[in-house]
Amino acid sequence: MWEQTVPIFERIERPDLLRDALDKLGDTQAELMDWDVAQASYSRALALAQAAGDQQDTFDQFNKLAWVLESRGDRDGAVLYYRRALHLGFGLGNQEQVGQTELALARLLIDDTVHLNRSLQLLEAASQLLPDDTEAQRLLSRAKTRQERLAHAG
Amino acid sequence: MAALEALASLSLKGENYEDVLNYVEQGMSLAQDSDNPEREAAMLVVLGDLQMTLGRFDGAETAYMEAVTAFRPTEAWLNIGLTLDKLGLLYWEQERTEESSRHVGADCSDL
Repeated sequence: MWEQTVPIFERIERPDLLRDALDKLGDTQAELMDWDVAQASYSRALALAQAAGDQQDTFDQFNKLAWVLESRGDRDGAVLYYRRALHLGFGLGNQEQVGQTELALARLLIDDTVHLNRSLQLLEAASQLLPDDTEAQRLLSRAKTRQERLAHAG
Repeated sequence: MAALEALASLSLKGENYEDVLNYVEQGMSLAQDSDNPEREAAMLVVLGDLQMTLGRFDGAETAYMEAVTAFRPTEAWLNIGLTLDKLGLLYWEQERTEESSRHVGADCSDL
């Protein structure tokens, strides 16, 4: 359906409805693992969110784009969008959302020796914001162990 | 007829489902008598909303599809888009992901 609603809302020039339709189209295509369409839909939704000055939706679209890029193996692209989301998220003040984004970004960086310290910092912050999140605690423990091993080795 | 549509929608919000059905029936009858497909379609959308509220997905799907078909000749694009969006949400709710994304049951191919 949302492939049909997109051109309709374009035709009648309703960017608010178009953005919502693109977001839903992105969600369904991501679930169907059609990454090209999902990425294109979220990218367009992001541009509309930015044009409308909607910071919360911009934050959401950054995260969705990052997740799609992560899913299709574009680690650098995913890191870039998670960083953008995090930058925006600090200003929005939703601790849960910031914590989840920190966790997602840290997960991408944890296996990279160069960024291990960065990952550790993110996980410490995420663990404080998400004290009941077992994934955050598990990754924090893993990052600390890796850092200790590297310190002994170095 | 617009008043009947408003009353039906208000009754739906107030969970007075019998009233919704009565208003929809009256509205559709009037719309058909006055050959007003757009108004008839609008009443079908309310009927679809009622069916969704009651968890009758098959009935809701039929009502929304009929509404799109009725809206189609009037080129009421906003209403067509909004009704297709409701269909998309209906499919999404039923985990019919492919259809919520791509289904082309209602003919809008000339867009």
